Amino acid sequence: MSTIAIAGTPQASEPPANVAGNHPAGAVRKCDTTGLPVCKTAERYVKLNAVMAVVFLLVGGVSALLLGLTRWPSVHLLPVDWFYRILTAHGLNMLIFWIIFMEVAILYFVGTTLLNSRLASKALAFTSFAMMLTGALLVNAMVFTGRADVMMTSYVPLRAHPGFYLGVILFAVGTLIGVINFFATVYIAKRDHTYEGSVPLVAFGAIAAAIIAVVTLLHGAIVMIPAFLWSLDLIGQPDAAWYRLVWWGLGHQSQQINVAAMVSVWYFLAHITTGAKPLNQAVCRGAFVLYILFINIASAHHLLVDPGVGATWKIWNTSYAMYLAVLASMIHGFTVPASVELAMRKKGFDKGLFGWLFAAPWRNPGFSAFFLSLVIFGFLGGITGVTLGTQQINIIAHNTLRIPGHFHTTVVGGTSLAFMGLCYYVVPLVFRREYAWRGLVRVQPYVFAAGITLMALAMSFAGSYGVPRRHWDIEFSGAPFSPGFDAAAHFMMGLVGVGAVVAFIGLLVFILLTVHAVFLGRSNEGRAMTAW
Amino acid sequence: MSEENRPEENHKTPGTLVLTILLLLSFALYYFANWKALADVWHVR
Repeated sequence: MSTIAIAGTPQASEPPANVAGNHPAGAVRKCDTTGLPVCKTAERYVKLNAVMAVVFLLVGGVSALLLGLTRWPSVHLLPVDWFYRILTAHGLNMLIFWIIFMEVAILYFVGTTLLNSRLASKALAFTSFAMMLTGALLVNAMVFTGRADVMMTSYVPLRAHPGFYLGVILFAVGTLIGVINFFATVYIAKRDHTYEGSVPLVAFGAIAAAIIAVVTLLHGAIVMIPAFLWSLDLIGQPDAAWYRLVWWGLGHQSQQINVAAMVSVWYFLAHITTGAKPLNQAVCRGAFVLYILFINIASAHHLLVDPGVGATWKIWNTSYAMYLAVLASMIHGFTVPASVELAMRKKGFDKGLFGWLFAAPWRNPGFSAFFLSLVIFGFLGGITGVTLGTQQINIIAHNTLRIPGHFHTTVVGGTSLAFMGLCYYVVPLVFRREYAWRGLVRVQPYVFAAGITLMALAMSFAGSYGVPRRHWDIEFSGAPFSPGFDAAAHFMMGLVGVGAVVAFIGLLVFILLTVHAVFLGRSNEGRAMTAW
Repeated sequence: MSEENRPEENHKTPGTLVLTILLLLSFALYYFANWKALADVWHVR
């Protein structure tokens, strides 16, 4: 069992690790590829959560294609009511269900395999999964039957069917139970000395993500329970400004769970694809702590034009405190590629400035997905995010397409792409099935990255021309005035559609390849996975 | 501390340093362009 310790942490006084872990007899297997222990109970729930993640990814992906083809002015596919319905479904399935099902799978994997422990509770894992699945299905049922056309934000006074709020609450509580199960697993691993020293960095990142998840889900409960009671006419309408403020404690932070989990996946994929090791454990862990402390405050940038909160509050939160969370991303954004560079140079690829980068395993979809994710997240998402989070600049960008242009590079080009890269290892190692059509697998990250980059850049440029976000018809058909968007804005909207189609093709290829591998792929039981 | 957990000594990562400088320059350019765009539409007298 490999372990990672914080530099300078005294180890001598600690009792020796129980290398056999704390697994009951017959409840663990040894990975044929890595030699790491795999708790069979956790493995079952990793599979279940990962499969549901991909199912909801498909729902969100089809929704994305329909939206892209509607915002493409010359196609303008959906009627107005279905546009907002599908937009609601897209946000919830992509930002919440796909990502959080995947994150729960990651937590169970990290808590058991990397810490050499059994899963704390099978009952909690089942309860968590059942509640999350019920909640996600209920929300989708409400949305697709037209009873929750309230967008993902569900700002009051927009009111959905009680089933919508109930579904969100069920999903959130189910996730919280999964997170508690993860913390309990970390606790019993520590108690039973199943690993040496401090938890590995990847596990540390997962713990940071889980802590942020708890704060996020508490915000969700605070805001969604009153909304649910209001939808039942049991209480009056919650204050709209209060609702927006607390909702972003849920809405923004849920994306920061993604960031912490994504960074953990970067470290994991960097290690298994190139042998990279973190340059400095203390610095990397410190950066995760910055996420925990300051990410919540960063949610203020969603309210930069909100009249309900003061300028001092906005500027302090976004122009001072938020930068400490940005600093954390910059630290990871430097240390991850630097660790890859160092590993590649040690292997002898040290020619010039970028010899290590050209010699990197670009044919390995785990590496290409992770590195493209890092570049898209850092260069496109990071630069636009910090700029848009400045109050004065936000005034010319708020509610334009520049905002979704930004977050599609962080959540999709960053997190989703990194999770896809992770799947190219999870399926062979956990499901013990090989991917077929490996040439197609190698190309998939590039297709998806190209599509999402084109779409996001086109969104950003269109937004710079004033094109609004969440808008069915920028022509304002039948309106007594013409908004007079520049021809370039229309061209950019066309590129948004083209980018969406290309990204969807990449997404569909990923889903088809993964579903085929999981259910029909060649088994690799008893031997190591075929190397990429 | 085991060998594998020891912090990497004598880091030499010039390629990553160049990428980082490129990132910061890109940010500076984009940030300035946005302030310029703001100044163009928000005249202060």
